[in-house]
Amino acid sequence: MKEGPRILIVEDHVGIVDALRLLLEEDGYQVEIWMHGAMVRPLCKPLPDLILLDLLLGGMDGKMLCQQFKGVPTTRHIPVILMSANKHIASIATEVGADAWLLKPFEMETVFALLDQYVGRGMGQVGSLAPPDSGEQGETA
Amino acid sequence: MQEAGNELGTGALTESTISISPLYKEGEGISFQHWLDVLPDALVVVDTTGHITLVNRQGEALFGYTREELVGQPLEMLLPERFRAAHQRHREQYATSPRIRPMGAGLELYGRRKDGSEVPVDISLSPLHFDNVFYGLAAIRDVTEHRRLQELERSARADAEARLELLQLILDELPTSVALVQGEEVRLVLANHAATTLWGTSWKVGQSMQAFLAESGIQFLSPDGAPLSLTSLATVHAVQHKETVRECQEVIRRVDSTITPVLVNAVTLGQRRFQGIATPEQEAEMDSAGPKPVALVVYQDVTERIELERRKDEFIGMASHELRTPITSIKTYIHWLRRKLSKQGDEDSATVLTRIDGQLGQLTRLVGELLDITQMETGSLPWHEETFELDRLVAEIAGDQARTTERHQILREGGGSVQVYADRERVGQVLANLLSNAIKYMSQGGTIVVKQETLPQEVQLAVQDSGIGIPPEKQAQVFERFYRVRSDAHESFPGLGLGLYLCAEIVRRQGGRIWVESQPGVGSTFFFTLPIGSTLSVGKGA
Repeated sequence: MKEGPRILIVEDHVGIVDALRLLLEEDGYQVEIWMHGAMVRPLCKPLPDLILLDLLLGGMDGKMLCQQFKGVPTTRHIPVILMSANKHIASIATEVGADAWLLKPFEMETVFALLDQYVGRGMGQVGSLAPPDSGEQGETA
Repeated sequence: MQEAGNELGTGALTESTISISPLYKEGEGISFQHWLDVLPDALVVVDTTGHITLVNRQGEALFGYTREELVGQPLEMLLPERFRAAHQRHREQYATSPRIRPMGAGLELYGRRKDGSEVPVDISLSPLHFDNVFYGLAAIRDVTEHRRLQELERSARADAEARLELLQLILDELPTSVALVQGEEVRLVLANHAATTLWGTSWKVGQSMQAFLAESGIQFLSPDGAPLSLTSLATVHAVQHKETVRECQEVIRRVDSTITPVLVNAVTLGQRRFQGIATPEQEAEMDSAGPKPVALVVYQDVTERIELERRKDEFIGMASHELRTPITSIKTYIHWLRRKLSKQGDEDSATVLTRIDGQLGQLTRLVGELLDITQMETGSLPWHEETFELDRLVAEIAGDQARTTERHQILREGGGSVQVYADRERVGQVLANLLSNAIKYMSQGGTIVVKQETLPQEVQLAVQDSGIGIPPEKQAQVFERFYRVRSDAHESFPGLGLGLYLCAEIVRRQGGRIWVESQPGVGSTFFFTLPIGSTLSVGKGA
C-alpha cells in the first residue's frame, strides 16, 4: 500500500500537536512529532516530505533549526513551513529561508492548501477548497 | 574702635588745633565741665579703687543717675549684677597695663540704669595720670540702635542660611538628581545627594562641567550608545542657549563602565547671581562677570522604567503567543469534529461548530486589539510597510467580511488599480474593522457599500452603512479610546471600544485622515485616506 507524505511537526504545544496529528493522520499523512529539544536529531532516511516548524519552542530555537535544515544539502529541498503567533512571521520566514509561514491561529483549510501545494494530497483527504488569501498564511519570496 | 580711641587720645587737642580754635581761650573759654558735657559719648572716670570720680551729662543721661548720685560710688553699680565680679578683676588688670583700647573686644557689653534696665553699650578705655595718681577713663556709647540693626542683619543672615539649609535638605531627600549650574562654562552652583550618587562622585561647587567630566571620567552617551559632545548635552544647551530642554534622553557612563539611562530636564532660569551658596572665593570667581545664565537640571534615572518597558514588551510577546496557541489547537479540533459530523450527515451540529469557530475568530480579534493597543502605547507596534495593490486588499477584506454574515451584502463602488506604500496588514485591519462595525450596527441586515476613489494625492475609502447612525455631538468621540456606541433602545453591542481608536491611530501613522459622516436613524459613512503622491513611483519598482 502506498504510504502518504511524511510530515515532521516540530511544536511544543501539546494541543496543537495532538489536533494536527489527528487531522493529518486521518488524511493519510505520516506524522512525526518533535516536541522538545531532546527529540532533535539529524534528519535521516526516510526524510520527511515537509516540515511544520514552530518558531518559539521550549529548549529549541525554531529559527536555528530552520537554518540548519536549509543549510545542509541533503535536507535543503524539504519545504519548511514556519508557524508562529508573531506578527513579524513573514519577515522572519524570509530571513531564515523558510518556504512559507502560518500565523497562529490559522484555519485548517489554509494548512491543507499549503500541504497540497508542497507535497500533494494525503491518502484519505476528501479534498478541500483553497482558502482565500486571508493574511494568516503566505509564501516567502 | 581702636583707631578712634587713638585719635581721641592723640589728635583731638593738638597745639595747632587749640591755637586756631576760638572755643579755646585761657580763662574765658568754654569751661572744662562744659567740654565734658558736650561730648557726644558718656564719660566716666574712676580712681584706682574703682570709685567714680567724674561723670559728664551724657553719663547722667545714659544711666539715669545724677552726678551727685554717682560720684564716690563704685563703678560696678553701672553694670548688670552678673558682670560685676568679673569686671572688678578686669579693672584691676587694666591698672597694671593701662593703654587706650576698646573694652571687652568682641563681647556685647551692657550697662545698668538706675531703674534696673540694661542698655547695650560700647566702651573705650583710656588711662589718665594726674598728680601721680592713676585714673581710668571710660567713654561709653549707647549702641541700642546699632545692636538692633546688627541683630536684624544677623537674623536675616541666619534666616537665609536656615532657608538654604532647608533647601539643601529637601533637595537631598529628593530621589531625583538636581543640579544648579551657571555661566558659559557650566559651573556647578549646587547639587543634591541623588546627583552625587548618580555621578558616583561629587561635582565640586564652582567647577566647570568640562573639568568635572575630565576629572571624574564620566561620559554622556545618546540612548544608542554614541558618545555625546559637551555642547550637545541638555545641561550645556540650556545654559549656553538660555533654552529649556525637556525629556532629553541621555545615558551616563561612569569611569567603572556602569551606565544609567536618564531623562534630563534642563530649565533655564535666565540671568541670576547666587550668594551664600558657594565659598566666598568660589563666589568671587563665579560672580566676577556679574549675573550669569543659570539652569536648573533634573536628571531622572529611568533604568527601572526602561526595564519595565522591556518586560512589558516581553510579556506582550509571550501573552500573544500563549493566547493564540490554544486557540489554534481548538480551531484544529473543531475542524476535525466538523468534518466528522459532516461525514455522518449531522449538518446541524456541524453548523454549531461553525458558529463556535466564528466566535473563536472574534476572540482572536479582541486579543489582537488588546495586544495592539498595548504595543501602541509602548511604541512597539510591529509595522511593516510595503508596496501593494490596494484594490486587491479591498477585495480580500470585503470577501472575508461577507463570509461572516448571511444578512448583509457588501457592494463595491469605484476601485481600480492603485498601488500604495503602507503596512498592508494594518490597512486591511482598518477596513475589516469598519466593515465589521457596519455589520454589527446593522443588526437587521442590509447592504454595505465600500467606495474607493483615487484622488490626485491620496486614495479615499468609504464604508457606508444604513445602521443606527451617530448623533453629531458624538461623531468626534467615536475615535476615542474605550468609546462605545449605544442605541436609544439601549441595545448593547459587543466590543472593547478599541477598534475605531486603533483605526484612527493606524491611519494617522500612515499619514492619512479618518472621519465619519452620519445621521441618526439613517446610517453612517466612515472615510479614510491614504497618501499616494510620493509612493506611486516606489510602488512600480517593487
